[in-house]
Amino acid sequence: MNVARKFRWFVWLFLIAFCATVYGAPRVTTPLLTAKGLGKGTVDLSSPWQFHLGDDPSWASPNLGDATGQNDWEQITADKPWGAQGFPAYVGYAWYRRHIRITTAPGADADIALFIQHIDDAYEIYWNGVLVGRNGSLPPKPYWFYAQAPQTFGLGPIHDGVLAIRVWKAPLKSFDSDQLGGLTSAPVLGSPSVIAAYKAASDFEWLRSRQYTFAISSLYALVAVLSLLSWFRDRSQRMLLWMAVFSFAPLAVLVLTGLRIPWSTNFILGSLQPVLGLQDIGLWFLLLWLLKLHESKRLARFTRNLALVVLVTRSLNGLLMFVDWSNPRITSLAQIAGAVLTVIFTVTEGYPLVLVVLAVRKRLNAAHWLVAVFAFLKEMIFVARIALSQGSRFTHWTVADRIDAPLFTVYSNPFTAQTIANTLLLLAIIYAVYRYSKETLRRQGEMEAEFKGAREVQQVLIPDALPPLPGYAVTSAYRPALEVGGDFFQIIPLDGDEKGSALIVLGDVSGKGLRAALAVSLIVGTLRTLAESNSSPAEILRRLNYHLYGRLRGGFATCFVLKLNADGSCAMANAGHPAPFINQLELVFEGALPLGLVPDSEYEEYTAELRVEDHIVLYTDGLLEARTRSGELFSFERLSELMALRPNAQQATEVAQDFGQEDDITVLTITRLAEGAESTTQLLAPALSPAA
Amino acid sequence: MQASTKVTQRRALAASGHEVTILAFAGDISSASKEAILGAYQALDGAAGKVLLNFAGVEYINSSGIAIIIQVLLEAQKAGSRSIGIFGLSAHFQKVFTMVGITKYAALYPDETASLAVL
Repeated sequence: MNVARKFRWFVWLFLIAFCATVYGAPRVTTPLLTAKGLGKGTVDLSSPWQFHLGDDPSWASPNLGDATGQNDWEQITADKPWGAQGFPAYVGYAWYRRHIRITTAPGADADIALFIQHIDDAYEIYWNGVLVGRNGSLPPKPYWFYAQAPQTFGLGPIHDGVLAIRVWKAPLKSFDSDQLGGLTSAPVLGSPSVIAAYKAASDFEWLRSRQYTFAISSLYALVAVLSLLSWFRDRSQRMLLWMAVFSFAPLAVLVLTGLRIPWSTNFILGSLQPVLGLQDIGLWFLLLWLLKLHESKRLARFTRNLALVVLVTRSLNGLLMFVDWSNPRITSLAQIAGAVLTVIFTVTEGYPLVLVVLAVRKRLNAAHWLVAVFAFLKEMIFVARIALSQGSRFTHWTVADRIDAPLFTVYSNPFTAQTIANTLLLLAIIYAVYRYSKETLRRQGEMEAEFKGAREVQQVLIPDALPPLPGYAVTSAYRPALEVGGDFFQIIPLDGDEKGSALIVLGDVSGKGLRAALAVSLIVGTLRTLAESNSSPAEILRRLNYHLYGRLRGGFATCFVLKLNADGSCAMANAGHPAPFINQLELVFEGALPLGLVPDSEYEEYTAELRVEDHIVLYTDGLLEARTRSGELFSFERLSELMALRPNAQQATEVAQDFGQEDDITVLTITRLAEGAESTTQLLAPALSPAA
Repeated sequence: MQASTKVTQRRALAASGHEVTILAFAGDISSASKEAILGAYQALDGAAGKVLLNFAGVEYINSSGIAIIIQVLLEAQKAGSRSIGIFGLSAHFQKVFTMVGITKYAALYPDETASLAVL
């Protein structure tokens, strides 16, 4: 090789080395995005963006040197948070910048606009150094939204420029991963009309994807309302109350987190805590009742104490959300307090498992088990998701994310494990309600049959036809307040030497309904037996009282016995019963205890002579104490006015019923007839016809 | 129209110088009042020798309610050392109480002043 040739080689090698040095070295340039033909469509402002941690208001300027490597500017993509791009767990300020060259389509709008899907957490948008909009508020008074809705911003007339986004990421919560912060999807550029349409399409797609969640939450709300209303009707059915509490939570969670209502994150997280606490407590008590564990006083007391612990710790944790999260010292303390409280109530989340284990050997119907198992499943998935996300920025566990991931999609509606568990529980509740209704109908049928039997028994005890009383006209009316009643009356004709005379007995057992009716059975049976051997009213009452003592379970029976002879003479005794009227005059008796209270009561016997046309009215306190809706009593005054009209039994009964029947009403009238007049008896109100 | 019965307790000094315990009832008295009334009565200090039952706040007493009052009076009679007075009853219920023989176990007074003057 000659010298000239060697020289040429040397020159070539030198040129190659020079070029390699010049062109191979890192170039200090800023990527430029060219938005071509803007106006007809949208342009994704996708990667790469210039990125800088920290904050400096001058970074909004379009003239800033932001090339990668220059002044510590770096590049990251816009499709995932900075936490996932080498800045894990970073919180505070950061800036994004993008240089954009725009060419417009013919006939395009004169202006341009920007669409932002989501930026974690609060942000400001600058276009060529000018603030054009913000979402939330940056420190010193930070304010950011939990359910951030997409936003659009007008950038003004079309021209090239620099888009700068100033972002502030709030301190991490206990459940936050370290993969957060900043842009999560590329902003979109377009004309205002196109961007508006883009946002409308985005909102529609969001709504469409939430249809199933809205539907299932609404159905849970319906279950909650119906359960609450049913519980108001029968407060003893506490299972319904807990069902209402448990079913109310999905609606509350939806309203707080799922409707994109612009409430601050702190308000939502703070409010969610007591809601989630109530959901836990609702489930525990629901399981106690469904699994028939509520009968254990010890377990019920333990559950109550645990509920108190959860409610207090959850509420305190919720209150922590309202501290000043921009103050690092307060933030540190709040994070420690939050971690302690979270540990306490997270431990209690396993309690449903304890309840299910305790109930394993219980014999329960399928509906109860289904509701219990699916309620347990629903809650455990929820709890697992929350519990496994705790401290995830240290553990880097992704189980919570995988639980949240859709298993399949139907018409854009994602079905996660949680959605499926919610659906299964709702179906189980509907099945349980169906079974409950069927069972209730069956029991109602049995009860009606029982009441029918009781009515038949009482029909034997209350005369459905009155025996004739020589020399008297008799009318009677009986209106029980319920299906069966506690009033009783008997007309017992006497035999032998006293033929032509009769015992007329009227009484009232305290209380009403089946219990009172059963007491009436006892009284009438005893009375008829006593009347076979004795016709003295006072003696009958004394013996009747002796037999009833201790058998009326703390109650009593008032009773009036009248022995009526054909010649108008009569004898009577009273055991605490309202005194009869003769014509418009109320008879006066010395006060006497009703039957069944003390074993050795004695009763006075009174005598009287009835003249022709004398009109006696015997009645029970249902007439005297008829009551209006406002609580006004019929009272003795109105009774005296009524008696002055010499009413028959039906008339007297109807007046009281119109006034406001509260108790069983029985009225019996007896009128002495002139000699030779034919005796009449009239059962004016059919016995055992319940009040309307 | 059954409402719960409220029972309150206080003490007063009778004209005789004796301390009197006053149980005041309010609302309706019915079978649902059993626990409230008997509970309040049974919780009284055993040394309370004179007790007044105040019915001024009572709107309605049904037959089951009267049974409860009688039960209280019978308990007092059984205890022997306690005397009971009643005041504040409407004219209607004064008549009903008389009719069922309550006056054999407790004196009826028109109001508190009258009852404290006698006790």
